[in-house]
Amino acid sequence: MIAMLRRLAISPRSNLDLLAAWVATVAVHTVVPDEVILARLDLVPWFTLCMTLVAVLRAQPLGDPHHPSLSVRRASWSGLFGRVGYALAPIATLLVYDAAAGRADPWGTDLLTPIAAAACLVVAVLLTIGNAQGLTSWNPPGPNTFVVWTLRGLLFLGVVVVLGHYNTAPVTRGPGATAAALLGAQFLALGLLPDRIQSYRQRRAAGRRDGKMHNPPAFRFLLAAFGPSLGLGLLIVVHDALGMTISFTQSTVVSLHVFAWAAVIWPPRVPVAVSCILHEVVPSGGGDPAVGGTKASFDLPAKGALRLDPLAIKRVSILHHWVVPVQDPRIEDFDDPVRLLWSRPSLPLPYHVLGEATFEPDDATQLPQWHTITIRLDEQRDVGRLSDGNVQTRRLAVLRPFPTRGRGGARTVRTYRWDKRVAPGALQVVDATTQSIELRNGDLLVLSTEGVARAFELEIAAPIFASDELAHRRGPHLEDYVGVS
Amino acid sequence: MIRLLGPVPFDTAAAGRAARSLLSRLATAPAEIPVGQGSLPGLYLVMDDSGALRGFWVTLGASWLDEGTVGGVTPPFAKALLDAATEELWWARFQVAPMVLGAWRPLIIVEWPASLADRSSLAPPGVPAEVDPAADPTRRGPSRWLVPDGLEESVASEIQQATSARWAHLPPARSLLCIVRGSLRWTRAVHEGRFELVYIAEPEAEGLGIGSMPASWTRDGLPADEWVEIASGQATRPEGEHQLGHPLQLPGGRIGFPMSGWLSRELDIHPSRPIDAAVGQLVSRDTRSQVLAQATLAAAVTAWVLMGTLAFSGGLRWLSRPTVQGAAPALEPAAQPAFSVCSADHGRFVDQLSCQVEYIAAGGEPGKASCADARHETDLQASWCGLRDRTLDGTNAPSGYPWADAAAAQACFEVLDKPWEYALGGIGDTVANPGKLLEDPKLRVNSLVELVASLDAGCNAYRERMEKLVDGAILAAHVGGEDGEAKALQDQAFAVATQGQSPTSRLCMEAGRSQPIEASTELFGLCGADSAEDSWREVVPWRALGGEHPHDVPSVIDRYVAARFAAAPPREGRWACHSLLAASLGGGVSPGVWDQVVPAPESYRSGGTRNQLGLDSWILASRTDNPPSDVCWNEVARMLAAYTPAHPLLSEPKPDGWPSAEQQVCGQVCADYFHLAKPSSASGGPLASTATAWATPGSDLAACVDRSAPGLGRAGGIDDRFDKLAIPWNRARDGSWVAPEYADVCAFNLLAQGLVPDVLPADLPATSWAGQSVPGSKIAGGVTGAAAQAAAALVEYGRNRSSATCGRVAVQCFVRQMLDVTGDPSLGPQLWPETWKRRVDDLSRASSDDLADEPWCRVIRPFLPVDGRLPEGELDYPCVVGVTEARERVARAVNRFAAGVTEGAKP
Repeated sequence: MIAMLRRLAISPRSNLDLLAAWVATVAVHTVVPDEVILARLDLVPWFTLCMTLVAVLRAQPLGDPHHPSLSVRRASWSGLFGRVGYALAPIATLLVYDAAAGRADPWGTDLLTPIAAAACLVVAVLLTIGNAQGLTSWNPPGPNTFVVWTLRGLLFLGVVVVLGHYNTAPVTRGPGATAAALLGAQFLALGLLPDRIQSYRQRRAAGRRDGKMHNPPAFRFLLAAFGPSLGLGLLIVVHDALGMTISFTQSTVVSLHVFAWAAVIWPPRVPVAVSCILHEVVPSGGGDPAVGGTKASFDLPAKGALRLDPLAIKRVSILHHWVVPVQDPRIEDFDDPVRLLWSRPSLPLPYHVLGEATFEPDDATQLPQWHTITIRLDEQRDVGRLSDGNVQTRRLAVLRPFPTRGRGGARTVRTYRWDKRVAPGALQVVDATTQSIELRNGDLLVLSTEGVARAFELEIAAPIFASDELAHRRGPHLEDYVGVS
Repeated sequence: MIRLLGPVPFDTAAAGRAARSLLSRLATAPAEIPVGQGSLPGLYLVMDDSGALRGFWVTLGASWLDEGTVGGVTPPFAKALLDAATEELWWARFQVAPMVLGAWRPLIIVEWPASLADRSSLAPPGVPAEVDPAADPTRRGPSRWLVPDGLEESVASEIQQATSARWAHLPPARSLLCIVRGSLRWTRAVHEGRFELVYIAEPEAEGLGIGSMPASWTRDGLPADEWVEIASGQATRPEGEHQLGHPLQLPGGRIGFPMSGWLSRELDIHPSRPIDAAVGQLVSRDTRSQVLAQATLAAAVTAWVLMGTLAFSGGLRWLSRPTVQGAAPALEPAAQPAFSVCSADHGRFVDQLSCQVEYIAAGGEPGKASCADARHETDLQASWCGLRDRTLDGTNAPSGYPWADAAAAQACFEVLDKPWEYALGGIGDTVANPGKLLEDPKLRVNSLVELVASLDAGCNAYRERMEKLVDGAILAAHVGGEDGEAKALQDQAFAVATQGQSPTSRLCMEAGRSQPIEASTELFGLCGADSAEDSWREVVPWRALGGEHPHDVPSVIDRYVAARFAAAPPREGRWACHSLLAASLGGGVSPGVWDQVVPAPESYRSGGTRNQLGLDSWILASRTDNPPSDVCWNEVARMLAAYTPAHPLLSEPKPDGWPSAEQQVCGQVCADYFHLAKPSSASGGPLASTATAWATPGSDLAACVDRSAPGLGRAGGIDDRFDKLAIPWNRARDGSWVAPEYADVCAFNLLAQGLVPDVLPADLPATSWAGQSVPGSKIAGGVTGAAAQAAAALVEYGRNRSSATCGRVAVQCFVRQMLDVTGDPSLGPQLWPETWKRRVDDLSRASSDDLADEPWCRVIRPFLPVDGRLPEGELDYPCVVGVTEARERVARAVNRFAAGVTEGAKP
């Protein structure tokens, strides 16, 4: 049950973009006048708008991407055009659908068919321009891209035309079977448009690690084509059974359905690592106020100077880049068993305890996460220790400004008797018995070695999705932080 | 037999990478991996004879002193190596062993070779040095300050020597081993792994021993195959202090001692105690197929969206339900103004109410009307009252409430968009619950309650007006007429019917009498304006229910009746009578007493009885034990409950008397009509104590007299027809029938009934004189009677003209003359004798032709004295005598009547 609740809590957090889009549609829904095409009772224009947002946020190829051993070309402008093309694709689909149904365009003219054709052409042009984004250099022989795309386009448009042709219900009713099928077609379109025939050829040429042939992932296409359709159909049936006919009043339910299925078809990508920044900080306290105009007596405890308060710090202009890998609970070879073209480059070895840091999967849900860094101290590296004739004073402490309540049975601690107690979880000190420490955004790391200490505020920054970005990174070393050789 | 494949370079900081590299080579090119003995530093794979992977073998080198671990609580490298195996192994489908309860139990064996082991804090036992016999046993080494001189060294030395001596036969290169046993479980959903330090103790060690073993094993150490099996299965975690286990044979002929911990880079034993060694956990991995994972996620998302939206909708619905329990008592809401009944849009409510009233008035039921676009145009006050008064007929709406309440509640319910709290059958029902809207102390709509009460009060006021209007119309249609005696009779009936009633009721009855019932199209001014009606003009709800009145609209009475009796037409009462008359479905006759019948009018314009005799006969019949039943005449009887019939005028007729009762009644009519008798208090007659006057003497007389010849008239006598008065003989000289005057008939029947006493000869009974029309019929006036026989005799030649014969005829003539006198209202009683004498004298002077209309006088005229002189001829003398005697008797009777009437006494 706890795992299920955690999953429920994690799912919206990892799909904040879609959640925000849904909230936006809820807000828009309240101000859409009845006479606007968006308010059409069959809700086709409405979920087309949602699909446009989905295209902007999530559209990814449903087929396998390029070969993972290859580096991709990054062309910002081209990518932008391509993304605009994805966003226009659902609108073009709607126009073709309405034209096939024999409806008039929003301006009341009979030009819907040429408008739909023009929209399809614009989408094709934009996708052609956007083709440069994500291009790879290996182009093994195989199915011709133009032929496959032509067949795909004709087949897809044919399906949409058939759906529109058989949609005889007036738009003054709620969505019906053809509308639900059109939703699946739009999902399928957003999965097909970013797809590259070149990637298929690459994977077919490379083969699988087990020597078998590459198989296209048909399930993802089937799920995209029929999953949202059946889900929307089920939603309509259940609402009808309960006497709550779906109309524009319930459009928020339909948009929620669309965004939820977008999260299913294109789940949030799991980064391979996350860029973190360690801001070097110094205490901002230390100025003991005068009492009654005179200095405080020596027997009174000093304030602020003896303890590093994580809430009373200030940053200096020194920061360090720290890349922390994300451990995916899924085994990569299960999902993508392509044979690598060459060995993966070895990452530089870390030589500090921070190099062992990873974003481990969530204990309860077994889902990847990148908000809590775990450092396991199994080998007690860089930990102060005392041995015969050799004293190493390396210490690592973590201060947490806002500890999570209710974690464990840790007791409160304090430095001096007159000091305020530190809340449980606010302080983690690494010693010989420590097995692991956890770091979160805003935590304060205090690293000290041989009497030199530095404090760093952790900022968990942007995730890194491409593994090749990590290829040539150097792991952290203690000397990077404390400047002691 | 186990064998080792490798080595590959092993970096202590990248153990996992080395493992992946080696496993990758095993998967792709296993033949290229050399077979090693484990003596060289690096990473090896432990394989068995079947080619199954048994684990990893790590032989450490000199770099350990620089790059080795510093301690920790879990054995070194195990996690990295097993993580690598998790990601590489399962995919490649390696054959692995051993499998215990579905889990692979690999071994990770870390070997510190002798070059490191001998320098560690838990060094393996060395080869005993040869004892120099020449050595000075008293020679001691430098003592340490904590140990008494000579004590520690001697004990330790003895132990070491004993141990060394035990394993002296083993090879001198002795390694230290750290054996870690993993447990990896893989399912279709998840991969879980754990690992722990295991220890192979001495056979004799309690709890950790491996039991009996061959002597060679005890002496030379456990063979590699055996201890690998033991480590994979039976070996457990060490306890107590750190120690070395039983020597183990290693590949290549080496020997190793298992440790209860592991060495740090400083070659110290870790952890502090064997019990401190923790069980390591691998991160659980999701091993579901991509299809299953995505399908599960899709199903979960669909279910959550469905449940979420349904729960959200249901929650809103539940939260929006009004709580009727546990709330503080609701304040009595102030009455809303009538313009905002159930809705701020008053017009919408009025339209809805009008539609509901119109629909239900036409026979519909609440909740079935389609009133979406209803517009209020017509006057529905009468229809509302009709619905209201259905309760008087004992019918209610299906909800059990009065129809009008149901209509008002339904209108309010519709205007409020059918809130389920007010629905009769709960959620989804389209029929309103009048109890909730009009009676429930918390849910009722007070303004609606006031509206209904106001309309009901209006209906109560106008119901009396409508009823009296109809009563007046019914009474006027049945009794009397518009002129003459009929009008007098009608006046008298209305006077009786309105006796003791309010001015409004009188006004409405008069209106119903004087104007057509269908003339009124609205309730205002129904009976003419009066002060009581003005107040209703100002009642807003009542006025709001009104509307336009086009000329073709049904009358207000018709609308009322249609609304009230839409389902079941009335069967009795005023509204049943009204329905008959309005639809011209009346007609026929209704029987009264004395075989009298009264007409039942077909419509309001047909007219009913115009004589009092008929009215009285029905009234009297209605008061008998077996009254006749007629829908309309019953209503007349109800209205005339205070009416006292005028008939019989003098006395109750004797059923067994002579003649029949009808003729007795009619005889009294004749007597009273010709003033021979007058009802008085002293008479004891029916009229003695009532103010009801005889309003229709002429009509009654006409109704009583049959002027036709015997055998042609209505006088049957023995059937159920009314027995009229008739005369048996009244013929001209040629024998033709001369229609008698009322006086002729009355004179004959008064004589026959003895109402003119002492004028017939004493020896001749009246019954014999008059005779019977049919023998035994008790109908006076038969042709066989003495009178008729005498008259016929006087006409015919040669017949008997005796004194008796002439006297029998003369009596009729003289009495008839007397009635002419007494019936003349211009003559006072004191003039009756003289006038009668003069008329009789005039008879003698008249010619036969002059008396053609008076056959009885014509036949005796020749025998009347002329100027005091008797007629000539002896033969006529007897007849003259008879006539003269009759004249004298009648003259005395005239005198008596004149005297009696003058004195006011009954003759």
